[in-house]
Amino acid sequence: MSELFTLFLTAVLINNIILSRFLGMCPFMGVSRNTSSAIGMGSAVTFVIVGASLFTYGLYYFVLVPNNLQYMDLITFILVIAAFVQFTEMIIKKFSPVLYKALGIYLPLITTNCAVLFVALENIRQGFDFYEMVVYSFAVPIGFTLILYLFSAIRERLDISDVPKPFKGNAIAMIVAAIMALAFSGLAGLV
Amino acid sequence: MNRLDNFKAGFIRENPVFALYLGLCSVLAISTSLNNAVGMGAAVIAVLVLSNVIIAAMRKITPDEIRIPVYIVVIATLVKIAELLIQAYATELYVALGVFIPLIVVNCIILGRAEAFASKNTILDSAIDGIGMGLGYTLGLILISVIRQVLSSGVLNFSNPFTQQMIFEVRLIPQNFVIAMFSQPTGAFLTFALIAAGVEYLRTRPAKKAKEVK
Amino acid sequence: MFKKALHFALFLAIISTLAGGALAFVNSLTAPIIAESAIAAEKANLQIIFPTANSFAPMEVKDDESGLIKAAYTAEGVGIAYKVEVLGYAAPITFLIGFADDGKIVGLSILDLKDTQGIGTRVNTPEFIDGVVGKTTSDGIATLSGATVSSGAVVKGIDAAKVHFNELKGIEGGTGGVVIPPIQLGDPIKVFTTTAGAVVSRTVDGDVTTFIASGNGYQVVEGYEGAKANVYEIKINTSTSKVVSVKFVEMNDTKGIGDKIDAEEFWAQFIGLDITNQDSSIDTVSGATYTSQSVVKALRAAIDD
Repeated sequence: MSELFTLFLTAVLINNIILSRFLGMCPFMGVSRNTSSAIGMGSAVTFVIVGASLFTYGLYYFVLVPNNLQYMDLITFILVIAAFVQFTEMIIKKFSPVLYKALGIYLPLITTNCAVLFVALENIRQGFDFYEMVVYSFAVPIGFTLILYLFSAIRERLDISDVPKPFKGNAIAMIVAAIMALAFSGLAGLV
Repeated sequence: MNRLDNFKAGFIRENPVFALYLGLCSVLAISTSLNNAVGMGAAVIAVLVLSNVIIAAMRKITPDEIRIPVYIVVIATLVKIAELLIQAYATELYVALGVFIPLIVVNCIILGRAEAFASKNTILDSAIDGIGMGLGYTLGLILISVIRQVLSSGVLNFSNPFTQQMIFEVRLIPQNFVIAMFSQPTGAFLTFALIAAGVEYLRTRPAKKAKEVK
Repeated sequence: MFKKALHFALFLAIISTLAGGALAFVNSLTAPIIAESAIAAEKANLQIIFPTANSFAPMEVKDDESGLIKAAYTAEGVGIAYKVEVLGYAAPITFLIGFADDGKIVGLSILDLKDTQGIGTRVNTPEFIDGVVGKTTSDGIATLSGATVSSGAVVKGIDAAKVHFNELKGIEGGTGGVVIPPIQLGDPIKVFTTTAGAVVSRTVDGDVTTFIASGNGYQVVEGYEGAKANVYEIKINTSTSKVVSVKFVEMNDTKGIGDKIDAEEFWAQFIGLDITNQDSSIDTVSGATYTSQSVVKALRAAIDD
């Protein structure tokens, strides 16, 4: 039980998917302009990662391995993810048209979000059992949402401050990310 | 836009890394050494060119509604082949790049170019576009990697990925003066930010000059 | 409309099949090379353990509860070797343990050992290895007295490998576990000639008085900074003037050495010891004389009280 908790904490804070593994950057740069869309994006990503992980995990161990087709993992995983994102898009459109509009192009882009494929692959590469896989699949997007939210809050301020012209937009965002990464690296001794 | 223009655009004006901010995940994570940068760059160029060629070849018969899944299958297959080849013939590179090899699949550059260019242009044009963008990516990657490697370890070296033989090694900064931070995430973000700002400045400068002249 | 969907599905299916075919081809080319390099690192070591084997292949290890097994290799037709990493006294110890298909342990190869020279490094000597090789996966393995932490860790690691192996091969009956070797008793020391320690507390319960007393052990005598005396609980029957029992409360000497005295045979010597007899003596534990003496010092303090 405590190993699951450690796994969770490590994935959220210490090996944070954005600040430490650099994955999930595209929405990080694009959506993080205001806090509510950050939360919306984070929730969508969480739903996709958990769902896709469950499917790809089952697919790998119940279909690919018994048939010695491990090399098909990449194709099948990414197709599962694409299908799942499509499915998520339909659900969001139905239940929250506002969120759908706010996320715009970034919703189908979750398909190419490195973080989703990363979690699906890691679940296999790390040899997680079922419970570890579930914990990890929740922990990573929660870490993602946390950083996205913090970042959007900072960016709301940043957008109205006097940033030097070449740095405006993405460069200054990177500098903020650098400082956040520095801060979070201090948590390394936590576990 | 003629072919040469398009090719050159891939380097600065539309540099996938510093201008379009595509493929960032791998750029930041891999760029700790020149070896990694060259290895990853080569893999990306190969996949990009081949996928552009294949998709351009299929563009007339691919139904529009399912084009994205089709592109994905093509790209994923190419990436997996690349992964297997690297794992077999350049094992150290495989270990160094790790999970970022399969993650080439979701490198926005490749899907982006397939959608934006290869689906609408001839095979030859698409191939050249692939080379241009791929080189732009690789050069950006090499730039960051060299800076990070030199600042964080002081040495710049390169070895043959297939035989692990050192081709050259040169110490540029004495060991006592290295800044280890550049091998960490913070250094990665920082290096990228500064280069991105520099590129942005270069990009907008000619426009400003033109405006001033007017 | 339906025809269109069918068209799409067919198109995708064809593409996927072509893709799958290409992948299968490349996989068949690269898989043997990948497998070969996976074991290349260990091949030399594996060959030493299984001199008769011709080919090795990596084996996937699942269901390793201990988490100590890092890798496994099958030697075709001969047996299985496990690469195990345990935490020794000061640093991790990595070793290869080889089992023949029938369950006999055929080899132990220590790959990485950084423990104390002359103590922890004893696990890499015939003294230890001879006590491992030749046993089966159902036999217990003894730790080395005097190097309990290092050897105990290695035995625990071997045990984990045995568990996995036995389950794989369907061998029942357990692994025999870790066997603590009997302690060797050395020279006797007289109770009344040693300097006394100090009594910390005393409680009387009828005939039996329980003392908590301390005796200076190795760390204090040798003058280590921050050293503390060992503390014992000593029960004496005041009506019969005999010791009822002695046991540790606090062991402040060197881990792995001082705690050697914490064994049945040692404590048993105190039971029934006549405290009025000036010649009373007990045998110290060889390799832990100072700590043994500290017990006697504490006992002396209790008697004097």
